[in-house]
Amino acid sequence: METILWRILAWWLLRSLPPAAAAPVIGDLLEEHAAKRARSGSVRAMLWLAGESLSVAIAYRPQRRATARPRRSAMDMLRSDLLNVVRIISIRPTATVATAVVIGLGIGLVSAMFALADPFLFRPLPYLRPGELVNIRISVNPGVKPGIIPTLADWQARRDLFTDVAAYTVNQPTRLTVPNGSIALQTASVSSSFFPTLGLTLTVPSEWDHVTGVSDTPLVVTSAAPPKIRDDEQGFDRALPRQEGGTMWIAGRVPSSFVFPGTGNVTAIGGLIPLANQPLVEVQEFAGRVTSSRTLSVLARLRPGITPPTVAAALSSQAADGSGILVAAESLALQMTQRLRSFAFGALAAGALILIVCAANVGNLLVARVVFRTREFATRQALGASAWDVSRLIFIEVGLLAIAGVVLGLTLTAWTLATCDVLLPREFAALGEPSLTNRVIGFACLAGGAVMTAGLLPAWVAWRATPVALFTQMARADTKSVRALRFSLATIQSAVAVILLVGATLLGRSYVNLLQQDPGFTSNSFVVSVSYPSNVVGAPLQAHIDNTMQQFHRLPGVRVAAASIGSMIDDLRVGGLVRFNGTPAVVARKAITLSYFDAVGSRLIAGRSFTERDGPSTACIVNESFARNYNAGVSPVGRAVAVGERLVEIVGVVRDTYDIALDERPTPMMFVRLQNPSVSVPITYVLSGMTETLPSATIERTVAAVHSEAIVVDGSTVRERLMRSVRDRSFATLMLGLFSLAAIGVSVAGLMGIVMYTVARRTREIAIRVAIGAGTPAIRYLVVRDALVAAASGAVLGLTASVWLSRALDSLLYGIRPADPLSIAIAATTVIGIVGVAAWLPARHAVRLSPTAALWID
Amino acid sequence: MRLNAPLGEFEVVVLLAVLHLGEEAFGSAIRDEIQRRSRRRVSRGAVYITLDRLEEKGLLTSRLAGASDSRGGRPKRYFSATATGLKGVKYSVQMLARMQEGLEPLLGT
Repeated sequence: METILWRILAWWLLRSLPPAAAAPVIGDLLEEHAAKRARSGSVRAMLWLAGESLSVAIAYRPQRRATARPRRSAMDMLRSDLLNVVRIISIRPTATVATAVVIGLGIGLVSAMFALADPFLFRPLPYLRPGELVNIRISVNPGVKPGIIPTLADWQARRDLFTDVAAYTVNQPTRLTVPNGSIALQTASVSSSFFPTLGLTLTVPSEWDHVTGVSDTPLVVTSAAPPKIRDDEQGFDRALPRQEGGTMWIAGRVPSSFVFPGTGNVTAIGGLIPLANQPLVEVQEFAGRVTSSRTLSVLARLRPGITPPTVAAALSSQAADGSGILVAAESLALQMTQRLRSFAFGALAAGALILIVCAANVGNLLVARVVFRTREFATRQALGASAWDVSRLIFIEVGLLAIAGVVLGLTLTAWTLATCDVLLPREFAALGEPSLTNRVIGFACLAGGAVMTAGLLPAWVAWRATPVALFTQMARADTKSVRALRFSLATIQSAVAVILLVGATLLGRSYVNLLQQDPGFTSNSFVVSVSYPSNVVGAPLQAHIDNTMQQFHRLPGVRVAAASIGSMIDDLRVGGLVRFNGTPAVVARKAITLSYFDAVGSRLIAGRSFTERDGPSTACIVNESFARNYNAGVSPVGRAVAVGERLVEIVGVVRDTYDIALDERPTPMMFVRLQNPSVSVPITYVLSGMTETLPSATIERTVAAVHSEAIVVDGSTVRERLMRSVRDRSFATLMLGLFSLAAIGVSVAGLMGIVMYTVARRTREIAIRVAIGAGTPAIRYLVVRDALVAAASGAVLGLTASVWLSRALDSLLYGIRPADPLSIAIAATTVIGIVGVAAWLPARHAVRLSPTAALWID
Repeated sequence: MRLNAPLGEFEVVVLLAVLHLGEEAFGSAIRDEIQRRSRRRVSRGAVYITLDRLEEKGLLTSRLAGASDSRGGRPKRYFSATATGLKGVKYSVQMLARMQEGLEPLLGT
């Protein structure tokens, strides 16, 4: 208390008295105060001190007023300060540019992270009061069929829970004949309540909920529809023939900003059609037990005060025999952002870490800068500048740096967003792609303000020392506390860099594991997905498939052409329940032509391949996972799989292939021959032997030559599909990699700053040491010691934190554990190596110092 | 040096205190000396600002010395009268004496 009071009084006296008079007066007061305290106690002494200081300050006040300089206008001051700052910057531009680059780097990457996280965490869904919307999922208990299956009308009657309830289901693409050809339209069937539930003011025909059959089906067009009907403003009321029979007519259009409320491939939904009145769950039974069920998706707007768990509890039912339905409700916003929500939080956390590193570095650089300028500040004060005059210069310089940093940062943000555009996960298409919105710009400005505020603190600590230097003829500004602060900042940034580098190394190694994973396919095979009209099934479809394969085979470079129905590294999952060894077995199914295994490069490891004599209901081939999961790893060739009532003989076993995604382990799979398919599903053609990618025009021409209404849905190589399947991982790895590099860069700049500062501060000492015979290693050790100790302390802190923090990456890791010792060792070695170089480079200046020149300069 | 203006009463008192203290004339000591001899309380601010003014007029000179830990490393500012200062004091004291002549019975001196 006494010290604080004394500091305030001393500051006041320094401001009030002429510089030459202040020190002796303060000395007199201190001396008498000590005697007074010994005589009368500290309270009386404090009161005495305050009174005496007041007396002196008041006595000098008229004199101070008389000698005060005339007041300048604010604009004059600003202009003069700006000129001063520009002159100072131009004297040492390197330090200023380095500071601006560090700030820009930090702000740019943090703003980019914010822009990427924005759609998931901050941007509201484009619906009316989106917080009230929930998605409801229904599942049926396995076993006995539930006694009561609810309908949409039942739930709409629950006015105690909902204000609106809607149901929808996503359909297979519909083929429509339009004036200039035909189009494939991805549709979703929705109840009429779908539109008011989302707050859309669209008026749909009154018969919407009562449409039966496929004639005169009203269609609401969305912005994802093919241009031929999306941009056809004259298209209202015109009947559009469906190739599978019946017609559609455009009943309305939703605004272009409409986003379908769901996850997965909903962004392709170009049309909304009526949902037939049906139960919310359709159950399929096999031998008296529920084998599979098909449920509608339900969307509801909750009444105030109702929560998703309340809805789930109110709508779930469980009978005594175990039958029943289970209802799970989840906020729509959470559901739509669920998959990448943890990524978004991770990105923001990484961004915050970068911001800390950046703030630490700016602080570091400013401390060094202010300490170097002690002499200048003292001179300014000696010439009559007040403390406010000097501090204004620092504020303006810091402000200019912040503006430059924000501009540089936003440029970097724009570049980063453009670079990662091709790697963006599909959710961005629904929720909006990241861009330089006002929110992002505002965030960048806030980040700039935060960094500069953090930078001002150490600057103030260092600057506080200058009035003392005024009386002691400088040199005491570089106090122990300032050095300790700089050391702490360097330690923090080194720790943060290590944490990010460990994360990036883990993801990088995980990604390498994925890429080294043998998918079981020849990666340069070309895959073409083709959709045929729904009425083309059976023998005619088989004829088209055979003809198309022949046409493909004639293309230059194509060695083998094959066809299949089933997943080919896409989201399509075809499968069901079979029986093997008397027990139910869940298998993925794929129908293939004879040349399929040859075309994809899959290897048979037991039995034989299909022959012309095999039919889809007589022979099948299974994969290794099937044998491992259901036959204890022993080859099941010769045994039979029960598919419904039929027994299908296993004639061969093939190696596992990654049919769903590169990061999804193969599951038990059963191959049958593709022969006269009875349902219309997309056919996947696989072409191998080419050295170059086929042009899309060639593919479309080849497919259309066989069937004019066939539509090419996708054409890409196996490698492209594999990479697409791990797009999220690629994205996360790239992001964390970029971040760790940036953090290391920023951190290295900080450590180099420490060494450079040490060299400058101790130039005289180094020169004397060299003059009396100190060797190169001793000098080098002298200047790099602080930086190395700071870096090593940071590395230890960072590695300890990494062991705990890396658990957050668990879901993104593949073939590696979160606390992988090798990754941590790689990160530690990299940091130590880089820090060594960062410290060694500026230390060369100290080693090369000429004692004569150095002492002359100082 | 010729004195431009007559000295004020307090200026004379301060100059006399400096002369009394000799080599030990610094801020606090001067104030104590005045209080002791004049038997009245004197403001510290008034003493310092008067010392500054007398130095500005050339009647006093000062030097910095005697910094110690008890003073927080700050030096003492020792004052001494210049020849002009001494002349000024003499002039003021003699003027007072002349003004006093003939008033002894009334003033009781």
